[in-house]
Amino acid sequence: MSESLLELRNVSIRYRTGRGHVSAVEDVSLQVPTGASIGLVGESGSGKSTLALALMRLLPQNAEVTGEMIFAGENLVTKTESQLSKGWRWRKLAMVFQKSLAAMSPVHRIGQQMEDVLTIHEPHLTKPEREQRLHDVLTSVRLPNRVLRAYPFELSGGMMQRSMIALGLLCNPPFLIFDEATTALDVITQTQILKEIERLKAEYNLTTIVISHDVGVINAVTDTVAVLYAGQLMEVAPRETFFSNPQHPYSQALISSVPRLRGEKTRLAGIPGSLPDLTNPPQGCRFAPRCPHATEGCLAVTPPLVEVAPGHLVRCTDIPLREVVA
Amino acid sequence: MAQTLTSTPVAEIAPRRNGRWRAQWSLFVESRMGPIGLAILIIVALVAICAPLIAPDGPFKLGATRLLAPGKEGHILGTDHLGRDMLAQIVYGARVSLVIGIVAATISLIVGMVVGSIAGYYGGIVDMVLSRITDMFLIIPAFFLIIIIVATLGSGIIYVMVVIGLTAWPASARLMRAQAMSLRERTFIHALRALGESNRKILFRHIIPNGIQPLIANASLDIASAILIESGLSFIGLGDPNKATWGRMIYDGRTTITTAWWVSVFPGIAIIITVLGFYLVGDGISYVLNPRNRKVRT
Amino acid sequence: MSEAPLIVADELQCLFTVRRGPVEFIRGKASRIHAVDTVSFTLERAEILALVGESGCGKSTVGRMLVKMEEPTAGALTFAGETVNALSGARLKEFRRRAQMIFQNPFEAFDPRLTIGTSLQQAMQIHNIGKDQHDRLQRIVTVMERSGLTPAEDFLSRYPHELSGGQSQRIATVRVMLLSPEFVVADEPVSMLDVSVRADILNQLLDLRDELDMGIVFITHDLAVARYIADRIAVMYLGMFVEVGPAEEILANPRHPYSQALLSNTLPAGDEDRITEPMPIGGEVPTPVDIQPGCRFANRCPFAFDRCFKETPILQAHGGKTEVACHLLG
Repeated sequence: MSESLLELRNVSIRYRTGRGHVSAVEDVSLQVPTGASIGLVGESGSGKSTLALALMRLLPQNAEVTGEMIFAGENLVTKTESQLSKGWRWRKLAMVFQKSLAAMSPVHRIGQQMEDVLTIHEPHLTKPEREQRLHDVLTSVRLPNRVLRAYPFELSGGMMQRSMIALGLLCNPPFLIFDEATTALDVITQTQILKEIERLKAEYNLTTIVISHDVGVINAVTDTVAVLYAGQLMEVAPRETFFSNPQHPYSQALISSVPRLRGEKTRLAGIPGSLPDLTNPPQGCRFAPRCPHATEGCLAVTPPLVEVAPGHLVRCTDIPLREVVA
Repeated sequence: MAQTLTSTPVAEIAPRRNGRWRAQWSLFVESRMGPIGLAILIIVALVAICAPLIAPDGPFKLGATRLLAPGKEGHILGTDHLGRDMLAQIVYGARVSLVIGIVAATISLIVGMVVGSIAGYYGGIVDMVLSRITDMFLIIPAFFLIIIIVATLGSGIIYVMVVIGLTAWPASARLMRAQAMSLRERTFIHALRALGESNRKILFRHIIPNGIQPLIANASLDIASAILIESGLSFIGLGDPNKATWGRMIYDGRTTITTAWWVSVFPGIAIIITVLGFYLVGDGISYVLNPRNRKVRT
Repeated sequence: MSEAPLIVADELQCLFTVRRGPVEFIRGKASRIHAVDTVSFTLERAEILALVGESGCGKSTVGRMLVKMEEPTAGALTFAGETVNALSGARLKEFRRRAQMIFQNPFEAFDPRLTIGTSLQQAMQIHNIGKDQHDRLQRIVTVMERSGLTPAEDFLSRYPHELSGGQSQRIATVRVMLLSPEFVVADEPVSMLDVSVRADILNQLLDLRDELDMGIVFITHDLAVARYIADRIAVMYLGMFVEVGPAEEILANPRHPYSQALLSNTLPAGDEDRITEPMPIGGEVPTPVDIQPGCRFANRCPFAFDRCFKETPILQAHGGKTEVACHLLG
C-alpha cells in the first residue's frame, strides 16, 4: 500500500440526543493515499456528511468521535481546538460545502472575506502578498478579479461555487473535501465545475474526498468509491470496478435504481423499506432488513469488510458464496 | 418477504399522538423562565378565583382604623385611608387586572390575526390597504387615544378593555402577516389550492392555525401591557371608580405615601409580579418558537 | 367522452413585471421578465410529456399555468375541448378536480398539524367524493394499498413529520389519485428524494397512466429521468421550447445545440452510458429580462451566426417527428 495521507481507523461517531444515542457512523476504516480521490457515496442518513465534518472537527457539541483519524502521521481526534484553528483547518485540510451562499457573510465583499481567512491563517503574509494570493486562486478557478469586489448575492450559482473552491484553495491545503459541492448547480454548470476540480487536482497535487448522493458525480471525479449505508462502510472499490462489477447488494441496488441515458429501457427497481432507526440500529448488517439476499446470519452478526480483490473491499457475508469476477 | 423484513422505521416508534405538543412542552420547561412565569400566573389566578375565601368581607368594607400599618389588628397588609383592608383589595384587584388583560389581549389577538392573515395571504392591493391601515393604528400614540376616549365616553371598565384591545392589535397583525406570507409559499398550501380548496378555508383552517404561535407569545406581552395601561389610567384618575383596581389603589395612596407607604407599595408589587409572570411566559413561548432551540429530528 | 386532445396550449405566455429603480418608477418604465414566451403544444390522453431544462427556463411556470395556478399573460389553454382561461366558480372547481398537480417538496406536502388520514379525507371532501367517512376511508385504503403503501391504516394515523420523503411523496400522489384526475402536472417530484426511492414514484406515475389513461406533464432537469418516464420530451431554454419530440429520438439524436449541450453535460451513471465528450458552453442561464429578437441561446451557442442574433427561430419539423427551433437547420 502506498503512503496514506489520511487513514481512518475504526471511526465511530455518535450524537447524544433526547431520545438516546444516534449512531451516525459505525466503525469506518478507510485509507486515503496521497493524490487519491475518494468518492463517498450514500443517501441521506448514511453519515457521509457527519464523517466529513468529523475530519474538519466541525461536529456539533453533542457528537462523540471514537477511533483514530491519522492525517500525515498525526491523530486529528486528539487535537485541541486551538491546534486545529492554528495551522490545520484551511492550511492542511479544507472543505467546500453545498450551500455556498449560506457559508459567506452577505454584507461583506467576497475579497474581504477571503483576505480575512488569509490574515488569520497566514499572518506572516504582507498585504501585497495576500492580494497576489487572492489573484492567483481566482485565476486558477477561472474567475475574474472583479469577483473580489462583489457581494455573495451578486454572483450566479456557478461563480459562487467557484469562489468557494477558491476559498478552499486559499492556503494551499494538500487535502480538500467537497461535500455535495455541485449538488445545487444546473447540469451544464455542474459538469464545468467538476472539470475544474479534476484540473485543479492535478495542478495543486490535491488529495480529495468527494461526497455525493449522485453516482454520476462520483463517476466523474473519483478514482475510488466508498459506499456508506446507515453509517456503515459497505463497499470500497476502484471506480471502474464499482460501476462495472459492484459486489455489495446495496451498491448494486443503488446503481440499478438510477435511470439510464442509453440502452434498453427496463423497469427500474427501487429499494423497498426505509433507513433503520439509528438510535436503535439493527444488529448485524445495517442493510440486511432491506436486502433481497439477507439471511438469518446477516441480522445477527456484522460481516467484516473483506478484500475480495486488490483494493476492493466488501462487507457482506454473501460474498464468499458468490463467484467473484475480478 | 421484503415487507416482513422491513425494519421498524423511525416513525413507528414515535408516540401516536402528534409529538409536537409534547416536544414543545419540554422545550418550554427547558426555557426555565417559562415555567416560573406560569407558576406565578397560576398562583395569581388562584388568588383571583378564591378571592371570596381569602377576603370574605369584600374589598370595600370600611374599617374602623384608617391607615393601619401592615400586620396590625389582623390586617396583614394594613388598611388604606378609608380603613379598607389592603389584602382584600389586592386580591379582588387581581380579578379586575386579569380580566382587563385577557379581554384586551384577546381583542387585539383576534383583530390582528384576521387583518394580518388576510393581508399576508392575499397580498397585492388587499395587503397594501390593510397594511396602511395597520400602520396608521401603529403611529397613533395609544395611551393618549385611550385617555381621550375614556375622558369623553366615560371610564367604564368595558371601554378601557375595548380601547386597549383596539389599539394594541397592529403588532399582532404584523406578526400574522409575516407568518401568512411565508406560509402561503409552503408546498402544502399550494397543494391545497391545486386541490380546489377555497381561499377562505385555506386561511382559517391552515394559515391561521399554523401561524398563530408567535401571536400567542405576543399576546402574553399584550396582557402585561394592558394591565400596565389600566393601572396608568387609574393612577391618573381615569379608571373605573367602581372597581378595586391596583392602579387606583396606588392613586389613592399617593397622598399618604410619606406616612403610609404600604397603600401604594403593595398594589405596585402585585402589578410587578403579575406583569413579570406574563413576560416570563411570553419568554418561554418565544424560546419554544425559536428554531435554534428546536430539537434535531432524526 | 371527447375527441379533443386533453391539453392544447396555444402560444402561452407569462411575463412578470418588475419595476427596478426609482428612475424607472418615475418614468413609469417597467422591466419585463419573460418567464414563458409563446409556448404551444398538445397533450393526448395517456401521454407523458417531459419538460426538461435548467433552473429559470420557465418549465415550472408552464406547469403551473397548465393547472391554473398561474395566469398566462397571453395565449389560450384548452382542457378536453374547454377553454380554461376564463373558468370560475363551479366550473373552475370541477377543473381543479380533473387537473391536478404534484409538487417538488415531499416534506411539506401536508399540513403539519393534521394526520395523513385527515388530509386525505379533506381532499375528497372538497369535491364531495364518497358518501360518508367510512366510504372515504375505504377508498383511501384501497388506493394506498394499490400503491404499495401497506398496511394503509398504519399511515393514516401518522403525522407528516413521521414519514420519510419517499413515503410522503407517494401519499401525495395518492391524494391526487383520490380525485380521479385526467391530467396531472408533476413538478420535479423526485428531485428531493433519495435515488433508491425515486424509482417507486416514477413507477407509480407510469402505472397510473396505464390504469387511468391520465395525461401527465412531468417537469425535470434530468434527461435520464425524462427518458425513463416520458413519451415525448420538450427541451426548454429561457422560456421557450427549443426542441420537442419523441423521447428516444431526442436522446439518440438531439438537433438543437442547447439540447446537445444539455445531453452531453449530463453525468453518466456508468461508463457505458457516456454519450460524447461534454460540449463546452460558456456562461450560465441569464435572467430573461427585456428580451430582444433573436435566438435566446445565441450568445452561448458555439455555432451562432448573424441571423441568430436578428431573427427568432420558429419551432418546426425538419424531417422526422421532432420539431426544432434553430436557424442551423435551415
